[in-house]
Amino acid sequence: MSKAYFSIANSPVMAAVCGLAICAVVVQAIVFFRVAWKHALELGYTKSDLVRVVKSSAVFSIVPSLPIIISYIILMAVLGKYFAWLRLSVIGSAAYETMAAGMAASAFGYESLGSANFTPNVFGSVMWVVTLGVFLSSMVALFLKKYDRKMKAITSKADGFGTAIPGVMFMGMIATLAAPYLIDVTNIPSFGAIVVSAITMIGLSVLGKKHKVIKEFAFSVSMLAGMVVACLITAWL
Amino acid sequence: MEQQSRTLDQYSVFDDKIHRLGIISTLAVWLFFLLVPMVVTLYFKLEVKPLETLWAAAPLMLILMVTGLCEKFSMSPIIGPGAVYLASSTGNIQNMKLPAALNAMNIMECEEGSEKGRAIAIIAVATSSFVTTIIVLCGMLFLAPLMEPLMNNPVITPAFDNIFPALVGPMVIPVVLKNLKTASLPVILSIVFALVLGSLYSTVQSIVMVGVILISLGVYRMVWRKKTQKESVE
Repeated sequence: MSKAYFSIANSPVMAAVCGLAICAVVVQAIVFFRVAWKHALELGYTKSDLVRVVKSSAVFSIVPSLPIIISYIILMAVLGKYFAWLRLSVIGSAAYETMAAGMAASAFGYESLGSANFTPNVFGSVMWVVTLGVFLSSMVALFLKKYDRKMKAITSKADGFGTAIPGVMFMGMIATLAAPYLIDVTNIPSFGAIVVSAITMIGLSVLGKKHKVIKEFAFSVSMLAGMVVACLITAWL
Repeated sequence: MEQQSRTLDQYSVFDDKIHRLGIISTLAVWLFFLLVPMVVTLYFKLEVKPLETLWAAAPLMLILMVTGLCEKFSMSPIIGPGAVYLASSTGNIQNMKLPAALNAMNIMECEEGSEKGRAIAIIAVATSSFVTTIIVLCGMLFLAPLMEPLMNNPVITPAFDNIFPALVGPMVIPVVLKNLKTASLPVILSIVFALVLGSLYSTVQSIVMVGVILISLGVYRMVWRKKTQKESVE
């Protein structure tokens, strides 16, 4: 049965405003891309170097984008075709949008997203909650200029330690991202995916020293190897 | 000398341009984001109660502000502010934009936070966001019904359930093994935090990130000071 608020959620007006917002982000990305491309050429990269970066980044991004479609199917049933399209194309992530929509639904007295049959007014409020939820997080970016200047001043100090700061920060960042998966040793498909993808990456990096093309796709191939191993282990278990 | 100072000028011109673009475009993009609920509310004459809505949004706003602050301030010195501005608007930061930027910097052999790395990371993040936008658009238009049975196939599901572990392997392990000395403390600290916090870890991950970075920097600074004092005495 179609929900009453879907006449709003799937309306041409909604399609137009959501499409406009997505276009704005695409324009932002195009502008940044052009500025960075020009600067990279000034720094000494060749056009073919940059094409390699584009190819590698594009190929890598395909696989992690696919699960977003499943989140889209889930969110579409609650937020309608276009608002779910906007939220998952830009700004958020599958995990955040599902969490935010769930929190908004429960704040308005609905047990779960699946059971949510909003009134048009509540649907309007849910849209506001989901949008405002990430507003302050994005506004933090407005302080990046001051922070970047400060960091540049610290890291460029010739006292020896300053130059080591980005390296330590990098290690801290990747270690924090990896930790929950590194301790999850009883989850054999997950652990197998880590081990196999790491070994594949190390092997391909060695080969990539001789053949540039291998290095270009080493990351994507390693990720796929890990995913395939996860499937095989699950089937075997 | 002249060449060097010109290059330095060029760098600061680029940084200034990126920050100006970043701030203006972030505000512009947000205008469009806010326009969506605003236009729908006004056009369909919806009765949205401002206080009730703000009250419902407040916990999300606060949690995400703290995590957003930690995430952006940790990432900026590594992939550069330009890539962070863009990732902030385009979303999917940790599972897509950050690995894409790190992968591109690795291919081009750029150091973390270097001028070259900053430019390359922007190109990678922009490309990644174009791909996601196209795929989700296809999903909305026709791909979703076609993909649903495939993605829910029990044989294939584990592949998508384990995307992040499959990303951790190539993104983290080779780097850690190559820099064991620098990596050992952050890795041990993160593992301890993950063990202590359990399921809460994912909620406060960005805050843990800042904690791990600050503790590691503090310890390494202490070790470095002792080492330089010892060397000057000798």
